[in-house]
Amino acid sequence: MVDQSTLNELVRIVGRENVLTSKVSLNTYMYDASLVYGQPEVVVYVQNAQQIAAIMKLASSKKIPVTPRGGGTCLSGGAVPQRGGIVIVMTRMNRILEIDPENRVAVVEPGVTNMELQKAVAPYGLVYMPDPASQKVSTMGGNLGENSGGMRGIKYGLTRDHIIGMELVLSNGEIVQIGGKLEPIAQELNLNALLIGSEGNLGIATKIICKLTPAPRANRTMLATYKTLEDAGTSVSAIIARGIIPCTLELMDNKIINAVEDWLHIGLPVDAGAILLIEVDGWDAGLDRQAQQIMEICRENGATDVKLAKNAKERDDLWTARRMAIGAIGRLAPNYDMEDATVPRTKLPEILKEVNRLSQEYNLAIGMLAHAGDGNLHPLVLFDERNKEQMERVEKVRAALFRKALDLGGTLSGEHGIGLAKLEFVRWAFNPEELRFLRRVRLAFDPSEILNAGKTVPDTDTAA
Amino acid sequence: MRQENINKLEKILGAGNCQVDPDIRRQHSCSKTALPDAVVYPESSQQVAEVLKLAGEEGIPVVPWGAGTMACRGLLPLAGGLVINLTRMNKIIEYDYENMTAYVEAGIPLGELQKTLRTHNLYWPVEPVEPDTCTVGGCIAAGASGPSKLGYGDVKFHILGLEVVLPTGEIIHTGGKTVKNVQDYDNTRFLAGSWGALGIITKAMLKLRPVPEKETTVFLPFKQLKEAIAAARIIRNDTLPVALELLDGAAMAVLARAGWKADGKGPGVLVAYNGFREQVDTQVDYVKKQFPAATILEGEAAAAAWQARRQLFPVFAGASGAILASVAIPFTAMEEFLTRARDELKQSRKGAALAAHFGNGHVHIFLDEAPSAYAGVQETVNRLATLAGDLGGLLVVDNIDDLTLTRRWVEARGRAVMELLSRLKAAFDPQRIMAPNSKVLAYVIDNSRAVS
Repeated sequence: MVDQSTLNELVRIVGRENVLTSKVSLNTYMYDASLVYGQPEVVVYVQNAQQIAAIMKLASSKKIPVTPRGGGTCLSGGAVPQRGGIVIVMTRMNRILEIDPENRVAVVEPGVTNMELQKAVAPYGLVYMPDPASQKVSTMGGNLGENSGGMRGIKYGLTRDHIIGMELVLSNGEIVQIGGKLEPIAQELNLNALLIGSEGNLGIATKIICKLTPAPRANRTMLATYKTLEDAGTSVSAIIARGIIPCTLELMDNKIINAVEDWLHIGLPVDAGAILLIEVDGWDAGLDRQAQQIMEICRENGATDVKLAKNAKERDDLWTARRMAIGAIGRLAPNYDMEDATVPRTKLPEILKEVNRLSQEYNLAIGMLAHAGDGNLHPLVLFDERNKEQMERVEKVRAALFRKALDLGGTLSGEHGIGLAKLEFVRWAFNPEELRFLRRVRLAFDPSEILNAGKTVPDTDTAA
Repeated sequence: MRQENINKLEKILGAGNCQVDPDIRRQHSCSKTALPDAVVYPESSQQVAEVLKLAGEEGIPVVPWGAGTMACRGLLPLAGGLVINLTRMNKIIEYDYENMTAYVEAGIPLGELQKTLRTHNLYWPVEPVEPDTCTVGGCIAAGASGPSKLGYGDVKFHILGLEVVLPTGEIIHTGGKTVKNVQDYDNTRFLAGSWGALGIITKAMLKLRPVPEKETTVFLPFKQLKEAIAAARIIRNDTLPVALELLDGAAMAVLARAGWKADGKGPGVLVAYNGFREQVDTQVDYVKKQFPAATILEGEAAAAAWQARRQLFPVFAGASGAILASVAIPFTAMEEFLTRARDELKQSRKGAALAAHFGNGHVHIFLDEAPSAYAGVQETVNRLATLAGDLGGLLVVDNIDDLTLTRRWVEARGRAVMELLSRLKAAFDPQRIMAPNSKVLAYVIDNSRAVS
């Protein structure tokens, strides 16, 4: 419980203007981009690590839940204060502290957005590789907490491959340095690994050290058109089996194609069952041959048409189509739930077929987007939240989808996290020993269990 | 160890799988005198779990062991306890070449695995000092890497999931089979490089890569260290090598003794490119244009050069042994560090050699003194450590039992770090039986410098 003395303490730490308690303010922080809600008792804006440390000392001594929040774009409820308590808003810690081009590292505060970092390093010919679709809004702190992926994960990896250090406030208010700018050499444990993707359970990062990569010199972008989703899925495995690792292999189904085309009018094939957006990059030499090989493989695997973007405008159009897909789908129904599951790449055709079947069985429209090269699918289930009966079917489809992904050797999440939205399914993926172990790891960092309380790892291991 | 416990171990593992023979115990130790009480050879994860349960009940320290090729880099000498040799867990459980993964038992020799992987034109891009005999589990536990970590990163980038037997006897699975996976904390990568301090890795899901279409190595000879450094800097900044090694004149002489003789007597730069033919050619042409003295190595010649590079330290050390110091330094400080370190060594240790993973900002300093005579070079090491520190870097000595420099480095991370590490250790290993001699936690769990 946040009582008056706690509020007074918070005012003392961050100043009256940075402590929000009005009903409107609290309602504003009930949400993220998922379907779960929860009202905080107080919202606090912070400017620096010392303030966060003081808040954590206070909260841990009184066992008040704390939810750190960046851009609020989390798709699994990571920023939702389900148990009330304090929401710490990180977006004012938004300075890029250092760009060191020749050493290829940048140091940022957690409230810097992914896009701000991209723009700041681009003039040096460098890239911060993870590029989640939310990059204009989502913050580096949020990216770290969720181990965000993106469109070029298949070749360049995820957040965990590109963050090499951080300053971290622990739940007891102590500040520690993890990792660093140097490639590790000392005999010490790699705590970065546990922290990246820990969904705010283990600490609050207040500085982030990012690895930068020289920008690829050239690229070729292709669009392959298919009659069925399964054919597109088969092509994905075939391309990689030939030893070509594209930087992007994105799949969209007929519903998405039409939603995008109706909105943007860029000439997408509206009768297609599926399209693949494929890009290769690197040195200019040899890219034409790689592109030719990919186009041949697509044709061999049932593509009815394959096009190579002839210029920057054509490439931009294709990318716009992909980036706008979720927005376009938003025009089709009052609500959508973007699911996130993975399967081994060769199981893509099977799970795509299953999603189609589920869509029919439960009479729900489902659009399909996938980072196909990673076996990471994002089915978009369309519905109207006010329709209770329909909501029940949505829940059943979700459960069936995750069950199938696990049966095929996949996971409950590739990049959106467990948070609150998938907590009920976690017991399908882990046995009681594993859950007890994960809880022990969590408690080692946060013995009072206040950081993003009630999320990611179930509190008890009794069967639901 | 009490005979009663030996009997219990034999009951779990079968007769002959619990050895107390002094020769065998000596082979599983980092000291001639401090030996384990017994060495056991489990054949399944269940057996490992049962051994650990017994060890937990009896409070017996337990140390996992593979081929032992790197063991003493990460372990201090330890008298007593149990060594668990995993080399009988050596099967490939699943080779899913279509998804480019392999699920293997920890004790499989890396050379044997690579041979199987090649049948479908794939490989696991980890290349430790002993790439044939070392075990996959050992590579993971040791956080192994070689020159190609510049292109591909160390071993943690090449594993997707693990089966781990915790010291509680619980068998758990981390990660999975897919590259994208955020359903658990990333214990997979956390355990890479944990040197047995937290649990025993019994199986691993490996992420494989296609064998590149073309691989080319370029060697550049120089007269002066300064020229070699300048060249290496240009190569790192203007191209994307998979490996970029810089060797000083003394190291080049060792390379010749290790089986690959280069032209000239001065320092050298060894660069590897791989990928699609045109991409490799573009970069190699660029290097040749910048440095006309460059020679191109392919096939067996290239393999010989890299094999000699991997053997550099063992050959330098010879039978009498040598001290290996490792330095991490910002890339931009490499020139100053290498130049000043070379000057320092010219004064104090004429027989020393320098070899750098140049693109990674790592320098290995080979000192011609047996590890047991560390006191004799301590002053030199301290001066080099100060130099590294002044340039924003860090020096540690790999193969001695003194963890002072490492401890200082970790303590500087914040006063709460030691407590955090201690709680984390307890989360994995509440009875504190796992590898108390593992260097990654020895300075946290035990204040004495070495257990010896």
